[in-house]
Amino acid sequence: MNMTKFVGIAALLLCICSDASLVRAAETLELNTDASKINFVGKKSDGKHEGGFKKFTSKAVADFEKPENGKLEIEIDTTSLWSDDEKLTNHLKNPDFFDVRKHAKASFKSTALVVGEDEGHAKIKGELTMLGKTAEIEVPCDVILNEKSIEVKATFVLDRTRWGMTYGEGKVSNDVDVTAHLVFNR
Amino acid sequence: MDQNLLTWCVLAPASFAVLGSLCGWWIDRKLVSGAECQSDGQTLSLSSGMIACGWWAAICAGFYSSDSVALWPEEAWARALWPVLAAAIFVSPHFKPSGIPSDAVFSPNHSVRSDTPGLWVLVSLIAVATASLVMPTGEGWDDMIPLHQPWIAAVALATICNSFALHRMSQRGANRWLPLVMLAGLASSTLICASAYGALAQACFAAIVATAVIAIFSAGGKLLAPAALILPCSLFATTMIAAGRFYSYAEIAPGDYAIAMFAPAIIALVDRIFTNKSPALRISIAATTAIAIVGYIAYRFLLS
Repeated sequence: MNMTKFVGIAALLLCICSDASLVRAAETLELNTDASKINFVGKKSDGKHEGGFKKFTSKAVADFEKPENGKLEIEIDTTSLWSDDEKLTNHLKNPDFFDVRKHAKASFKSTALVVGEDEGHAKIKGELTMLGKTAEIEVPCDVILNEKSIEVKATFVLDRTRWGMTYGEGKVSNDVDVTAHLVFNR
Repeated sequence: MDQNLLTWCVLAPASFAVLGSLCGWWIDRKLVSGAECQSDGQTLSLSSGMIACGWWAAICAGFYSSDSVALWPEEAWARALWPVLAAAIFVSPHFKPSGIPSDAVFSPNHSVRSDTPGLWVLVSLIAVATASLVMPTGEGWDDMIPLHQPWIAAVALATICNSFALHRMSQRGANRWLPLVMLAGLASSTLICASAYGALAQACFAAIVATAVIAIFSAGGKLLAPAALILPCSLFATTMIAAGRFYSYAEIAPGDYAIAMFAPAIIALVDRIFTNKSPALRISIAATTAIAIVGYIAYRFLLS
């Protein structure tokens, strides 16, 4: 989800070509936590539930000359988890799912940023650590560059079982739809 | 039903409970014939131990369904397995009928007399030890540490009260249908656990299946000492309720937990009023009380 930020960096580079006034060589970006969201949708045989995390921080660096040098790190406070059902929120926090007492943080650290051929598109590769396990993921992103901010939007699917979250397999879908909308102030 | 749940929370627990009950029944038959054992007391101890150990093996299967069986499990709640085993081996045999003439062995109203002060000291010690063992500690649990002492006290007190009340109830001629009362306590703990953490609920469900099997044997007059389950079952149910509390982030009134924890004692207390009535009436009243308690717990923890 946070990978999107990386994509944003890549997109910024592309934008530089079109609008020099918006671009500086390398830029440390500050996350606008109020405007940013990391949400997910879990599906089961008889429906689906929305959820997300209220608290997360991010460190991002955009390199407009060499976009591939951009970096993104995101740290999620898993105790801030929410969902559209209070009892589900309770269950999601327990060891069947996020085990927030034992693993209060989940993190993403980018390892590569690939700028797409289309302007405003990129892929962020990185390592997502959750429940004490680290797995590599790849996130496609859209990046919107403004004078005051950089917005990164990403929608992707995570297989929860890669991090050992196997509760309810067969009834609860392994694939979780993740949406990240990260807004960085410039 | 999920194959893992079907295997480890239904079929395996039922099989272990049947095995324990058959062993208990076979030993009880020897008591009836009066042959091979040195005394009735020894035979009944063995019979009680077999039933309790079969029941323990059944909940072990439930723990196994969530990979929670270990010598020293990482999750504190799963450590309850060992003190429950100790209770099954060392204490359950003391909850036995004594001085029963052979021709009364399968009488539904035979009495159970074994409550020496030493037994209740032992019950208290094992209850406090178990409660202390299952309190979650470590990084991430710091905010819950102030709850440890009250919950250790609550688990210990509820275990002692439930055991004492059920024991007295069995002495009042309810021995044959005693496991049905235990089921009410387990149902309450299962509902609370189901609202929080699947692994806890799976262990509780295995206990329900095993207790239901033993209840069938007992109701059919095949078991002399179903009272063997009193301590292991009380200990397990209260421990799981405490674990359910620690894995809950919902605001639940302490009184609701208290009703669930003391459910068997409440049923026994109501039954005390009707001691001299017919078994059918007593069973009906106990069942009504149990349904009311379990229904209230279901409403408070799952539906409201």
